[in-house]
Amino acid sequence: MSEGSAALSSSTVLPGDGADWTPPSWDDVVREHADRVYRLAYRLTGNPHDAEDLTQETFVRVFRSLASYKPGTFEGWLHRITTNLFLDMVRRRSRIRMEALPEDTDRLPGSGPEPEQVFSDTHLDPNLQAALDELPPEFRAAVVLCDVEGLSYEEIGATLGVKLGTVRSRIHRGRAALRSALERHRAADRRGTEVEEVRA
Amino acid sequence: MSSGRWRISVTTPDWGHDHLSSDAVVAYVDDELAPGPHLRATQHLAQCRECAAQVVAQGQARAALRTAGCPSLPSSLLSSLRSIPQDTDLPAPPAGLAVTPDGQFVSVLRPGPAAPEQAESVNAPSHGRRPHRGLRIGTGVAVSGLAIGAIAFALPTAASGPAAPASAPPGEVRGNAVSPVDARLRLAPAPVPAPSATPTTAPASTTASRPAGREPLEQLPARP
Repeated sequence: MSEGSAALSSSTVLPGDGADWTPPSWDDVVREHADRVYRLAYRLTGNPHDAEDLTQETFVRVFRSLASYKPGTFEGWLHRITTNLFLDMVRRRSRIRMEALPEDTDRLPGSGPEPEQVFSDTHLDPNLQAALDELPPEFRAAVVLCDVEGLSYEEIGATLGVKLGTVRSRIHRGRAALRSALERHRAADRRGTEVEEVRA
Repeated sequence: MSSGRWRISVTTPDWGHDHLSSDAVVAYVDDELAPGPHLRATQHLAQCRECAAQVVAQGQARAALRTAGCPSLPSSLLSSLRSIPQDTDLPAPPAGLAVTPDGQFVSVLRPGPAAPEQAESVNAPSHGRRPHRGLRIGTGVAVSGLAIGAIAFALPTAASGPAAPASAPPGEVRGNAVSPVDARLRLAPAPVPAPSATPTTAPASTTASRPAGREPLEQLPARP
């Protein structure tokens, strides 16, 4: 397999020499779609560790079901797999979450983010992700597919397997909840800095 | 986007007193309204502060997400995604498939799977593309070989005596150790009910099954 994909990728970078067009190798599939899947996974799960797991699981699923893949857009397929795996994961964990606080699991030793991760994390608005994390998973999925992935309502409906009316109401209510959570977090931040200023 | 879908999105046509439904507000913000309803919503928003405030609120949440950065893919994850074909057990043989731009999958490595793999993978562990299947069969053989070996040993204790010296040198056993076990899987239970009646045949089966039972275990870890 490794020799095969090596040969494939070398032939894809040399399209000129008389050969017909060569289909992309697994490497090409990963290179082209990994960023998008990871971004979606990150916004859905809310932390790098779960995002990595979800991305890995998505690509394993893609690899295993390549044969049964029915023609359609590859991106749509990826969105569907990622989102459904995420919702499965959330449902599986809903009981476990009752026992362990998410703050604790985030600080487990050994699962620390990589340096580049830390760098990009500091460029994220932590309030935004926190507000997103507060949304019920189904609402979060609809909002993220709309505003992070930029999907149309119709595509979101197809991805989540729900009707357009459900898509509209989930996005509307999701955004409204997101906005009030954002305001709450920011207000808390302001209070926090004021307290620090008073102390100093 | 058909315009008919949105005819019900505005509660009543009396723009002066009623408001946009929340469905219409969100669809307006995402530019998912058909031209007609969009125009009517625009006219309503120009004179209704409440609805305009809702549109602004939706737009703020939308913009917050759309302008936010996102962490880039960790390089360690990228390499582990790339090695999925090496690390993943396949249920079907799509290892050589690739995607065409229009979403068709095309076989690029092999035209079809090697046909008689069931029989082959037992004798040729280095069969290659489907190591897991071979591994599973190998494990099965090893386990049953051990079990039969144990039965054979347990019944005539004296049998182990002649068995040890009679066993062939490891080099010779290695080649065809596995296939005799297959036969003995079916034969072995026969001497069980009457071990004392056939004392001479018992050592023979022990001789073959014992090294056979061991061989796969020794080979397994070495297999790539």
